[in-house]
Amino acid sequence: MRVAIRAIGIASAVFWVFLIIFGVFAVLSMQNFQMSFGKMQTGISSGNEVELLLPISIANKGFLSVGDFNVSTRIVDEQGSTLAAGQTFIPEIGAGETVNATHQVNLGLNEFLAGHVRMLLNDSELRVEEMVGMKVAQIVPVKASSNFSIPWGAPLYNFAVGAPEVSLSGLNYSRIVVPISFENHAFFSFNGTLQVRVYNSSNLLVGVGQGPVDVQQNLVYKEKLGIDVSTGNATLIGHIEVFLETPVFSYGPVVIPYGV
Amino acid sequence: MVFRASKATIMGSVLYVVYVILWQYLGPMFMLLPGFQQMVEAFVVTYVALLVGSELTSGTIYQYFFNVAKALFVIGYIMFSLKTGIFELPLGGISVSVDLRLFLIVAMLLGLLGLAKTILQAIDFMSARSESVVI
Repeated sequence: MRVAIRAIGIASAVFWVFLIIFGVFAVLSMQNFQMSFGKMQTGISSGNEVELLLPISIANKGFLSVGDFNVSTRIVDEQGSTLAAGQTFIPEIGAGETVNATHQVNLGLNEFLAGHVRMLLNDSELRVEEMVGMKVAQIVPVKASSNFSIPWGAPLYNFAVGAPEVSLSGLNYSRIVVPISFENHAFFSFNGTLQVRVYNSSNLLVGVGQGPVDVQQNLVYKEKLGIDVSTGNATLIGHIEVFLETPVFSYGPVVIPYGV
Repeated sequence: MVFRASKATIMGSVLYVVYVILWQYLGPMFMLLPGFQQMVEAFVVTYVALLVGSELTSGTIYQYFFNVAKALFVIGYIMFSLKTGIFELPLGGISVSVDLRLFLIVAMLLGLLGLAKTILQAIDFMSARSESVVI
């Protein structure tokens, strides 16, 4: 029995020493684990999605490898609905290795803004839930999570359609000039087409006009769109409908009466 | 008795010195955890006290009482300090969680192994003593 007791004692001591040394090495290793984020870049993908690109640099200067490294981002609105999500996964970062990766989150603006029209017109805040997870020595899961808010600038902030001005432009045509203005507070620039449709008092389409829109970030769009209307069908009272079509979102119709 | 007291003192001192040396390297990182140093110190002091008691009573059955108490203390302290095994730490606006369940299971198993060894030692001691009485 004494042999068995001695064997148990030796095995127990060896495993305790191994466990303590592993714990010490794991803690020292994590002290030398460094992660840094670069400057976020934005762009529009070929699928008309806004891409948020965040460069990440991970330097594992510790003694132990890190496995299942992942960065997850979830952007939610004020009601908690998920607007966009992205994940970057690196299977293994060896001891002494430095890995550079780009964390990408795609925000489908069409779907997002179709369900949140007021985000087109009003500045707001979006909540970002960030999570970084890894397994130290491929064994011990460690996770860090954080919530923070980012400002959302409306692409059509203060969208305004002024009172249409009607004037005669010839014997058979009238000219309707529609002043349109808005401010692009969004983090992306956009271009598209602004279309104005003129309807008479019988709701008949009597004229269509359109013009290009190309608005950089933080700039103001202020133009007057002119539409020539045939006097045959035109009436003194009617309404106009304004549409804005861009590759990333659509807005409209904004209905404005005239002649009232 | 003097020999036992000296041995107990030396073992207790060695253990405490090992703790101080380890704390020099790990202490700065764990300063972020409130109450962690007090928790570790309480464990080390109690463990050393039980170790000294075990060495002072070596050669008697009471040594094994102290050893069983030491093994149960280790198991109980690990369960008390790690609780569910998922350790959460708020650091400003960031919440860090470490899953130590595997570590907890291994430590508990080693603690039970130590307890089993102590019980076997006590049984062996009693059987050797009864054999010597018979002789």
